[in-house]
Amino acid sequence: MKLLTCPVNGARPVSEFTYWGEIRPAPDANACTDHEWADYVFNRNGAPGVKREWWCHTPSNTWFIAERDTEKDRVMRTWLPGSEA
Amino acid sequence: MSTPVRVSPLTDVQVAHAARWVDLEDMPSVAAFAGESEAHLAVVAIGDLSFRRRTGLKGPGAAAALADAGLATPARANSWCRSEGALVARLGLTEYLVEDSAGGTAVSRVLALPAAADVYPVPRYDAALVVAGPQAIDLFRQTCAVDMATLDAAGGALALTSMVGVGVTVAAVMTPAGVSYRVWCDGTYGGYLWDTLCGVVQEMGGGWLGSESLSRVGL
Repeated sequence: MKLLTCPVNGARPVSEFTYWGEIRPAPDANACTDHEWADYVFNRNGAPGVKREWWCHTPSNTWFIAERDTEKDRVMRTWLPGSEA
Repeated sequence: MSTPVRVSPLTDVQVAHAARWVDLEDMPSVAAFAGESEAHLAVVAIGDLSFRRRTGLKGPGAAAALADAGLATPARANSWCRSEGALVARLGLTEYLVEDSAGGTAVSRVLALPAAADVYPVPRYDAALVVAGPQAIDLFRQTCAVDMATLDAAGGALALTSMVGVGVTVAAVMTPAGVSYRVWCDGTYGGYLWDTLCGVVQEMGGGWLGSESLSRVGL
């Protein structure tokens, strides 16, 4: 069973979690070009590597951030938004 | 026939098995199931406590609002305590579930609180179950990935997890019948959860109990 650690509820089966995508800084919609905005809206970075992602522990609706190596599918750490030092 | 004020989310799945009904807290509940036996408590028994009144609050100001209603709140996330006879569960960091005991007024006091900043009401229409008996822990082992044996009933531990695919809150509670487990889930999944757990309980040699038996044994 693959486990993921929720910062509030602890280690749980990954089936209790939902993946909500990589955290990507949004460009300034008023200042960016149409090309930059379309790139942000439609394109995703599929290259493997260490990424920060949104995850949600579904039974408790706890949203948190996971730093995950998508090449090795290994989660380095998880934390609540706003709690990172 | 009068329309009931409150309806249990489990009514549809229980009606075929009910021998006698009773109104509890304005909700028609099964007083006794056909052929039920309290002897099932020596194995594993499941009961429906959906009739108990409950409500929820969430937000950074929720604990202060509950204090205004005269209710103590658990200091730790994912734990529960008794306050004024009510069960107050802290779900995660800033969400609370309040469930009244029979005739309690805690829920009505919470519902009467004025609107406040950083406090959001959470209406609760849960299916609320109780699982009791020495083999209750085995029921969870078959249906859930969290080892409920690690929940400290005396310390007021609870877990938010998934049971047969349904998001549930499970609290370990000390009762005259020993350590029992309260299970709450979204009412819309209640019928499926009840049916599925009853099937497992039956395979284990246990059974289901109506509110009269549950009350007699202190659940």
